[in-house]
Amino acid sequence: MKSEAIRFFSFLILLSIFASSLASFRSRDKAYTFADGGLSQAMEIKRESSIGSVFSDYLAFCGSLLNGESKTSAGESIYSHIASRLLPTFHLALFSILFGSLLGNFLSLYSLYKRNKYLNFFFIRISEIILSTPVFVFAILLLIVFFYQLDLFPPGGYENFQTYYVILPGTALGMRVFARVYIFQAKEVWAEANSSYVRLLETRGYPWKHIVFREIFRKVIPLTLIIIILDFGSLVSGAMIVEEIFFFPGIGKSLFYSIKAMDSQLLATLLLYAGVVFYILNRVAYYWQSLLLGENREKI
Amino acid sequence: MKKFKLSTRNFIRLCFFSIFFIGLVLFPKPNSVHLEFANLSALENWEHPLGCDRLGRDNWAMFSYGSLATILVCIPARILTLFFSGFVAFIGYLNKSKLSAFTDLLSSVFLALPSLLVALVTLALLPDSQIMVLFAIVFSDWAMSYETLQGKIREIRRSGYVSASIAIGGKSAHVFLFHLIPGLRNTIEFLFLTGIPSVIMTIALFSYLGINTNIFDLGPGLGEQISFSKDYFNKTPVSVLLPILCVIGLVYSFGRDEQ
Repeated sequence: MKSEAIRFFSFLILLSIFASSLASFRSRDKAYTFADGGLSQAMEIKRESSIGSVFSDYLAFCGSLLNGESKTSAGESIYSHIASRLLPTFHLALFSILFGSLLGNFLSLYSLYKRNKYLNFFFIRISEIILSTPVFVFAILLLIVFFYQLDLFPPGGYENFQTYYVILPGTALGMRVFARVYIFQAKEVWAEANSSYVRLLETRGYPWKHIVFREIFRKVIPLTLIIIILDFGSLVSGAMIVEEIFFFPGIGKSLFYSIKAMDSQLLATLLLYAGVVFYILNRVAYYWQSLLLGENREKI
Repeated sequence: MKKFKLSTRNFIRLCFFSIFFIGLVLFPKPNSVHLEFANLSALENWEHPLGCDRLGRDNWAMFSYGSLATILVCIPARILTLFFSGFVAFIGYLNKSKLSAFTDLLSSVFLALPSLLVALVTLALLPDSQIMVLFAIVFSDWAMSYETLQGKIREIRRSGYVSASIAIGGKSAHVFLFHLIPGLRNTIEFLFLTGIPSVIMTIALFSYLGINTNIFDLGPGLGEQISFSKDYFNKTPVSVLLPILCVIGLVYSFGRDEQ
């Protein structure tokens, strides 16, 4: 526990230094945005004099985070800005994870239930093609089909707790989750189907449906959960491109905006947020995996 | 004698590269506008069998030259990434306890941040030049390769022949050059080949976002083609679908079957 805490705090310190220095370097480039805006020489000199003061920038960044005074370039409190983006982000991440993992789980078990290797081969190839396709391509294809052609879903935006708005972006993101879950779990369930435990259940007269959807599912799902947790971590950190394509007001869109608008405070805070969320969920997955391996070792 | 088997992946490779090379041979670079061919459908004119986009640029030419431009950027980017990862791993190796903890922590920071975010921030920081795309890809991708290389370095460092070399007076640089690098050869080769698909996707994404990835002036990038034609899907569907198929074909062709 102590080593984990030390590891986390050293990670946090380095991440915050990294985030603050990157963002402050970024803000120094800001001068050219005022090129035609009557920027005074005094302001330029003031900016140049701060070069090399990474440490003081870092302290100022930490101070503003602690006392809650940090603001976006538009004057909004960063904490309230991030808070307003959390619900859409979590809603989208949850939809994507549920869509991808439920579909991946069901289809991998269904192909085994039918004992159909061709069906399994077909879904494996589909999953490989999905993983070979950038996520923005899916987003555009979904937009073309379901908005331009069929006019079934809105092209973007979000209203609180309205799943209607997260279906298209969530499907675009969830397809990759599906592909990863399917490829991983199909291998596991087909291997498990040849285990002596499953053969014993078959000789005892258990229905094949019960064996596949209950016994095998319960054996493989803890391992699949590791992949799901890792994917959830990357989605909660912000899905920049999909959120940008669908005008989705989540953390990813904020990140993209902060880079484009050179909003140093917002960028630094969001970098910190993304890194910490991803780190925590990775460690959760790591401990979950260790726990499973430990359990397996005990069984052996 | 080994029996030749045409797998699904090899079949896709064959189809993709055939279309790619024929396009390179038949068409010039799609850099110029021909409004007389604007929105030309596929099979309407045999000079442009796959049609043209709304600026009259041939779709097949954009497919081939877009792929070529992507390949010409992704291979040096991958080499640079591995060189940078290897360099950081070497620094960590030279000052084992002092710097390796720092380089490990640094890589964990980069791994914790979405790679696209790191790439976009890098592009925003660096001077505005097409070559900076390579550096953005390096910074967004190096940590993963570094972790794999470090794992392999640790394994080699624990091996008997390295211990023997150190015991008879071999210096760190000597062990790195004559034991680690040959030992890392297969890992580097594996990282090079498996990393290319993700670089292709990153380049397509950059191009879609309007970042100029076309270092060799070979016409519009694949992502740029999608972005340019997506709102005119009803008029020129091939101009949207062909670059999409091209990205998938490229990534799939450079990918490897799970062994």
